[in-house]
Amino acid sequence: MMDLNISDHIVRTVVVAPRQRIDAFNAPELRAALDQQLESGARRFVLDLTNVPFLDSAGMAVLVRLLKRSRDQGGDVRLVWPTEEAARRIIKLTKFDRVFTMADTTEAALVGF
Amino acid sequence: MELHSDALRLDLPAANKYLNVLGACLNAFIERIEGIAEPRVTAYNIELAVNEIFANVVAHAYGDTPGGRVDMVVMLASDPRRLLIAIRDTGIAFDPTTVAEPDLEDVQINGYGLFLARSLMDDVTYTRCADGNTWQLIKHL
Repeated sequence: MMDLNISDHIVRTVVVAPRQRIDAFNAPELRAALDQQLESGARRFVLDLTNVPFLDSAGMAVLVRLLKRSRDQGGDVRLVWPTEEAARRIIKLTKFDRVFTMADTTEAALVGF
Repeated sequence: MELHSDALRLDLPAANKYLNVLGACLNAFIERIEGIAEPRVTAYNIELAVNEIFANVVAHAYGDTPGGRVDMVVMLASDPRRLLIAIRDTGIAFDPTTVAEPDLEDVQINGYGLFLARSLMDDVTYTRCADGNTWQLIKHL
């Protein structure tokens, strides 16, 4: 029998796609959900903001916190651009697009992750 | 701010739960102002700026003190045409000068709130009064 060393290399990426506004009221809920994923061992995240109609600084803080925590553990966070034009401009204004790897779709974000 | 007859006045509980109510009211008010360039982006920016000041009031002026209220007046002024928004609370004083501008070259968790409000509006002023705080936001339209 041929001597083969076969193993599976599975990289887990968690895709989170909120479908409502993220503000100081519900940002803690998002943070808790992401913390739970981190605690379960997830290190790579795609945050799909396509259907997020509004994102305030509390929501942005959740994204940065996730980025720092995942990178500390060797992971990363990629963002999918929101559809809302004003929200896209805020991401550019705060230079989040230079800190996070940005993608147009979840599928594109997963490529090479 | 002298109250015009067509000014909108909102009296909200000082709780982040009502940020969506605040946003909906502002958007509805702005939606019926004619001739705004990029109305959707403008409305979003105004909503975000006010959202940040309101959340700041909830967190700093009232902190853990329950029962606080936030009084907001929105009105359209002319010559030049601009939206005036006054946000008042009766909480403790806030010193905006103690809030550092975010270092945009080094992403951080906190500190974007006031930066966003100042960036998105044409003018943001804070005044401490005898019985509380007043923020005035101006956006030229």
